[in-house]
Amino acid sequence: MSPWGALRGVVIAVYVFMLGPILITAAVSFNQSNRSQFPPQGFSLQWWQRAMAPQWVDPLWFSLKLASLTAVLSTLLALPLAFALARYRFRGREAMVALTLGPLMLPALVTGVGLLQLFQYAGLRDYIGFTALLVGHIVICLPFAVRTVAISLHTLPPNVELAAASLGASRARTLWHVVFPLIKSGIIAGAVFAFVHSFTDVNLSIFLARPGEVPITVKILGFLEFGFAPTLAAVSVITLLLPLALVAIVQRVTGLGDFIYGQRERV
Amino acid sequence: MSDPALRLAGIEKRYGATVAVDAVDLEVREGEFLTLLGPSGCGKTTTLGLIAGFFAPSAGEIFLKGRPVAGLPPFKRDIGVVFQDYALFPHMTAGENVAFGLRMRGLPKEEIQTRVNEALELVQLRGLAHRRPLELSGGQRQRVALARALVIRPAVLLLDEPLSNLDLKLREEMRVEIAGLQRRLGITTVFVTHDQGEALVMSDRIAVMNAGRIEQLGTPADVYERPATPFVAQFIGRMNFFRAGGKTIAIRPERAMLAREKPDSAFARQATVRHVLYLGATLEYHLELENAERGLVEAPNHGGPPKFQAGERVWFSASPESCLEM
Repeated sequence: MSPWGALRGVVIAVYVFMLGPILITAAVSFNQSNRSQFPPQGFSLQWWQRAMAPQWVDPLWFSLKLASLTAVLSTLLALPLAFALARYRFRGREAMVALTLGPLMLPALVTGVGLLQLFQYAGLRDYIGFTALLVGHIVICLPFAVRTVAISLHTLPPNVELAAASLGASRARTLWHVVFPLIKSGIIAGAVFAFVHSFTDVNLSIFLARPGEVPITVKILGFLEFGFAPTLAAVSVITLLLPLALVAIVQRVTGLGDFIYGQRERV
Repeated sequence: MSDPALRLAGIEKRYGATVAVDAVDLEVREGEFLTLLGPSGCGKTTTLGLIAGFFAPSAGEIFLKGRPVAGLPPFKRDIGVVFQDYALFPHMTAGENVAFGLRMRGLPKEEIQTRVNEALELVQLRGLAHRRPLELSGGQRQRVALARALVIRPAVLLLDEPLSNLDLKLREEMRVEIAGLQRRLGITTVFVTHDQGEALVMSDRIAVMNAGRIEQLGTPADVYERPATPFVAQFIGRMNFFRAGGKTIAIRPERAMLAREKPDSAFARQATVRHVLYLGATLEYHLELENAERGLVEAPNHGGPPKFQAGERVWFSASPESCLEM
């Protein structure tokens, strides 16, 4: 086989294994009967109707709120952190790098167990639920935000800040007029990554949820104990499409596709 | 007499044990084009950064029109800087780049517009105001950078090797153009370069720097004709050095002469021609002298075959006024 043929085979396999499960899940959600058959038997929207019940919409809404707040807060925290790490050499910098990027290497499961114990022993039991989830999600999403912001800081053309200063711009105005516009794509990409990571997390969330304050992923996992039903298929498709739609919108509005997927040429 | 446009008094910059700029004193006159010339690592760019205020001196004071500025950040200094890599703002058009300094000064919109147009006209970029840096050639970016620094009418214009990223032809054009513009505007300018050709062509005075110090300060003719130290002599142009009775004699290759007969000169040495190089406008004779010393003679090319051939025994000589004692 020619190398191109082999490559084509790999690409096809990647698409089959990436898109296949999604397509099958979507198809299953249109089954006529309460059996997860593929190919689907008959056609019905009843499972989609059931997926719109508060039982599912509430956790979806909860996850959206949690992921949005996580994205905003971790990005706000990431800005000064990334600046400090990318620009300055100071005592304790290595420790700060390890602490910031550490959660990237740790299984979120371990972080989740740890946080649960922390909240319990610190007498913060009442905060388990949304608050604990928010804290946990910020911890695991921060590395993504810090990294993308730091990378975009490193791609700043070397002397633009000095140039702005020489032209009479104070430090604050240099940040506002020159640095932020140039790293804007990195900031937004970081927020998108944080949102998606928070929205899709189950490992950590499973420990920190409480009745009534349950993210959609945990809800789906819990429901799976009773077997896979077409309703679940419909819910899964919605859960899958939401972050995809968000990425698509952000990409459309800001033209950031090239940042999320790779670097663009810079002056 | 009024204050000089710029004065450095005992300026020093140390990084730990390394001394980048070592007790430099320098006065730049109003409207003067002064060049800091030296090899990389000689402290010239650091000196420029100190004048601009990008970092603080370890010791000494800097006066801009008599006002001490060493403690001020760059944005309070009234300077214009053109960087080696231009450092244009990639997210702004050429016009917005030029307008930036005026906006920071809070000038009214109409005045900004007028002055931006004037500045772009000055550097022959009228009509390209809406282009972004990515859509401009290297030479055009350089002109935008120049316009951006000039439009704020700074007390001093600082140029950090602005020509080194251009190709040879453009570089030679821009030398003349920048020097002409500087004289027309009468703006006090400090120019940093390692290129002696640029320095000689463009400057009113040259400060030759080495190891953090100014070795010689003078007009282009001063530093070329009467180099104060061996370093200056060999850094600017090329130089033959010979030992003669405990002294060192320096002779420029284009002032030296070759002859077959022993000339009646103050300085004459017998030599063997090792190589003859054909450079178009000139010929170069590479010589080996008696005691393994080397010599170089640059002769104008008058056409026809070279006068001397490799392997030939010749006399190397120079008139007394061409012999510099070091």
